[in-house]
Amino acid sequence: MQALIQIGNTVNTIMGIFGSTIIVPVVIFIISMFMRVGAKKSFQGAIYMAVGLTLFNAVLGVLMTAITPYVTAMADHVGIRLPYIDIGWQGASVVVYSNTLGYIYLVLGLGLNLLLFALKLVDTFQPTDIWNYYQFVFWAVIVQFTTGSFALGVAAAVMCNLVVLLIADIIAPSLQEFNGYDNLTLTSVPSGGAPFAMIVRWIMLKLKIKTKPISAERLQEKLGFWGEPLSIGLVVGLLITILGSVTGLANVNTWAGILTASITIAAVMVIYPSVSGLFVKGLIPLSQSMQARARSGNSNRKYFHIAMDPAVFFGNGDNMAAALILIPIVFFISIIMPGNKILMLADIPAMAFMTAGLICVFRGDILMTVISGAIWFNVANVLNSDVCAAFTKAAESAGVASQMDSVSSAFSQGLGIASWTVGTNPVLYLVYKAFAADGMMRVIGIIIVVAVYLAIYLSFRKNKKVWWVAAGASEEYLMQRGYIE
Amino acid sequence: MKAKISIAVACGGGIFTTTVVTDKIKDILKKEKIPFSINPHKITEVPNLEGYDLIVVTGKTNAKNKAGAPVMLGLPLFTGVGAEQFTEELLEAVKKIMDE
Repeated sequence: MQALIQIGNTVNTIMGIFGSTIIVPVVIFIISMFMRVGAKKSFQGAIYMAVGLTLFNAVLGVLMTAITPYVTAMADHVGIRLPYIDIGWQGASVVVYSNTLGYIYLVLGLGLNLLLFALKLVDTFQPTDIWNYYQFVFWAVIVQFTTGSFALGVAAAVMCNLVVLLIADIIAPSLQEFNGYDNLTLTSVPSGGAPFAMIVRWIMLKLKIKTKPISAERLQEKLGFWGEPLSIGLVVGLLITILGSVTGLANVNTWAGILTASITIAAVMVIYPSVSGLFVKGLIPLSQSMQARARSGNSNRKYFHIAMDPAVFFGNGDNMAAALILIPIVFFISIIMPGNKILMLADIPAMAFMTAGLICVFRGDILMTVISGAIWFNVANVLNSDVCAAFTKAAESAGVASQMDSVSSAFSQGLGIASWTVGTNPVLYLVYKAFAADGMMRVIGIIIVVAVYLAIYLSFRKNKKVWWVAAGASEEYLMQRGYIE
Repeated sequence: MKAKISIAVACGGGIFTTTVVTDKIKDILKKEKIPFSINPHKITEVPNLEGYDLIVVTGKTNAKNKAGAPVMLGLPLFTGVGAEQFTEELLEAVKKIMDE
């Protein structure tokens, strides 16, 4: 542990000199070489990543320039305070992988996952989803920046990882049955909603409430425009800029500003996926070679689940329909939701990722998915708002603010950043709360978290069928796949 | 006869799985010396894409392309499970389109 902290400190010093856009790709290159990805692929990946990071900073600068005055004015004149701009999962991945804990956990987590799987303590093989480690390490980074302790951060990362794996084991058959994929499961953020959906479903079954399934084939075509970054950027941009200019709407110059800023926000939304695509390329060689290696040597088990990127669950028709209905509902509630400080933006098109963890539990029931999603995502926004300040601090430390003046100026005016999808995880929020509490509360909190985890883990290992069925799988499917005798 | 095949690759966000599958398809087509152009898209765009001969998606979808391009599930290239069989199917489909 001491050695890790020392490595971390050294890297941070060098990062201060060269900047994260150079150092992070270098670190990823070294890790890739260490994992025997091959020099050419590792080098290519690192260059793409450096380019992606540079463009990410530039795009963030453009966004902050356009949005800062309106967000500030909206708070002053209309009283809607949403100072934390949602910069998407891309933002969280950049911040997490630019912090020491983020890349050190790539190696630590890989070791832990392989060990747990080899000892048959878990049935999910997570290294295939190594790219998405940042989604739970996010909470560990928040713990580190709240407490100032690297060791607590590592401990929180391990705890979050265990929770993610337990949920992955529980929802695997349900996901497989609903989506028609054998052997796959989720270890990324969409699975965070599954426990809530399981509770809602359990209550519904106890109260004998039944809903009528609604067909949504047509909805997808009609509402499709909502899911596009361009239209989301325009709609959100117009709304924020108009709300931020209520005192001067009679003036033609005000409208010039409104239109220019809205188009700028739409432009950022359109270019953002390409920019993050470049950043992602840095980690693809690593994650692909882990996958390739993972495939050999898995065969001596009765069954196991392979953790997979949520993109493979996105395209289900019912799932996309539920997400398209939820986009305006969640967004407009978030604006008036007391306690929410996040301006949802870059992650709005990612709604269908998030519903993938709910809809399988409800066996494709769109209505239940929409109702539960509207509650869950808004509660999550309030909890996520609590960590945005720490997340912004982590971003500053990762060098995000120092690249562009407009970003540091926005931060100094009290604005900050959020990552909607990654921060939408009330289960891991509780883990963070326990690890970041003060004094005795921390000890008690950690004991409670470990005790609850162990209780559910042991109950699941003892009677997997009950948990699998509660997560939405049918007994027929479990028999057919050989999960139960 | 077509001079080159035009392929769209689509996933949830048009980023992660798309990039992986696109690189794999490029390798396959280069190996077979088939000229191609390939572009990333999102699954939500599949019904309205125009000007493509073939669409490969990385996640299951019931979406069909209105312009008539066949939609293939390219998940095997991402997971590696069944990748060889998919490669054969892909090449068969590509060659059939090229011969038209």
